[in-house]
Amino acid sequence: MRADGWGNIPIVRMNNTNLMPGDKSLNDLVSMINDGIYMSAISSWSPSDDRSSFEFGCEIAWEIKGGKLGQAFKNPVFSGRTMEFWNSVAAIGNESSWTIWGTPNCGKGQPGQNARTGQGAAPILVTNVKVGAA
Amino acid sequence: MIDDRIVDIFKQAIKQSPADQTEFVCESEEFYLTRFAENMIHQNMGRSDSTIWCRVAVGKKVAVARSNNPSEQGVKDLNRIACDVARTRNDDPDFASFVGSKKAAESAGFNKKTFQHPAASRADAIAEIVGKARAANLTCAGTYQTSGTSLAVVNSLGTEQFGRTSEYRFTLTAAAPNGRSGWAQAAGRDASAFDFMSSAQRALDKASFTGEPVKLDPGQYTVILEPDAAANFLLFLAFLGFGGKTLYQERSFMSNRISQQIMGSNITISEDPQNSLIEYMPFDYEGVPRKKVVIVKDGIASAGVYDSYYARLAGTESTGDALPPDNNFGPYPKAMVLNGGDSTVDDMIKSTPSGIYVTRFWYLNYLNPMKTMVTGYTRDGTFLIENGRITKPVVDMRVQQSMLEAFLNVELLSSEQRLIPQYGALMLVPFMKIRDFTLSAA
Repeated sequence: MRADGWGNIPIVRMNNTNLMPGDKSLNDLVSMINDGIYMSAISSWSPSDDRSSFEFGCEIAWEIKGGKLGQAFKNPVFSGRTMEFWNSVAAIGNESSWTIWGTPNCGKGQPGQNARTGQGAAPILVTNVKVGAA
Repeated sequence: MIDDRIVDIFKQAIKQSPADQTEFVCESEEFYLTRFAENMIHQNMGRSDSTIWCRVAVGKKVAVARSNNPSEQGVKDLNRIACDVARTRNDDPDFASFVGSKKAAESAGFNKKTFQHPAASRADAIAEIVGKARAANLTCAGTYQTSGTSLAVVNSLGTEQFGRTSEYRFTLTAAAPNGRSGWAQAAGRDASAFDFMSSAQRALDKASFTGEPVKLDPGQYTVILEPDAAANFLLFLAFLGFGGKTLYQERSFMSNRISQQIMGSNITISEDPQNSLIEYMPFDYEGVPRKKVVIVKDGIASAGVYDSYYARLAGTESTGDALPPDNNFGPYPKAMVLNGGDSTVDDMIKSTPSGIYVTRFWYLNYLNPMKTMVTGYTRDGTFLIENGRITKPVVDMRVQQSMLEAFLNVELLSSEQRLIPQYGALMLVPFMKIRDFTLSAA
């Protein structure tokens, strides 16, 4: 429970939600993929109100062919059903690629409240993800 | 809520400030809220607080300090902190000066009845709404708030502004046992004239709509957007491209396109703070009187809105749209009017052989700012239109749409406009009927 100041009601919030590291380096993950996309630098997020589906946008993506990074793409997007997505995780990056990310302005509530949140994560390899370009 | 005595405190502090230029801003709010859920009021609160900013310039070093202490000593201390910080800053080569302004017009947006609206009146309104909801086997949640806000801006270049506004805001989500929901919101300056039951009935009717929701294929549809949904697009366009910072930095979809057709010829958008329904604070956070700015005229990009910093860089004048001194977002319009047309929402529905009626969007976010491509969801009242009639609820869908393209494809605008509050803005917006609107499965 957190409030963004003395004058607001505390509300249930995700504070620090971490994905624990796996055992693959980023290079390992890329080399495991014959035909895929490496998404980087998330820039946009939009979950459904019940969080059952989502569409996220990134600044840049690279094609992966034969285990190697190739052509870069602007404004890539990916979307899916939340449970299907997380049930399709084939591998997780190790501690060397694990980083604490964060959001300085996570909004919630009526009237709105802002909070800083932290998310520790490593790159993940996910199969059968719908991708595109905006 | 702090009154105009703060102006004298600021003037005294400015006399003693060692900075080359000094500016004080005080935004003070007295805010009352009744919150309800599960058909019961579960919170009544009142809050009175102020934010005071001191912005100083020492040569080209500019710094801002912020507190909520309006006492003479608190204001002096804030000035000292701002000066200390300024001396540690690098020069801002683009900084020239703060701005001196003449007295702005009196604020017409303050209504004593709204400011003094009793909690019992809010509770009575909610009781009436809940009574109707219970009778219809619906569950309600929402907020009803009233507030008064004062803003004072004083600087060493002679600016002395003080104004007050009041506001009510109301939101309601009604939910049916089958999971369907309806939603409504309202805002205005005069709470005593607020027809809360009329607003609430919109949400109750949508939640009560019978029939199994139909799941539609991804595709391009004709949509009728309620003003809440249309206003969401309008404000996101403003964030992306109507402000002087995005225009100057060429990050705006209007950059280098002024005088070009960017929307349909039936679209005219103005920043109109003196509009009689909006009555926004008559000056901005630099004390510059807010001006009416025609942003898009008959679909042609006309002008952006500016604070003094980006106005100077762009070779124009401030339009009175500065945000608080410690913002890094840059100016954007907060009192927009999207001109209506001559249609009614009933005409729009009757003229639609196949389409979707949208109450509001949820969690819009940008995917490609220059293309104004956004994603998000429909929510709380999405219906199928068949042969000129609303026939069935629709399973909510994902929006994947360029907002500029949507505003190029507007077939009809209603003469009715609603006052929509979003993210600190108050907008006057009609219903819109738009063709070729892209929706996909959620």
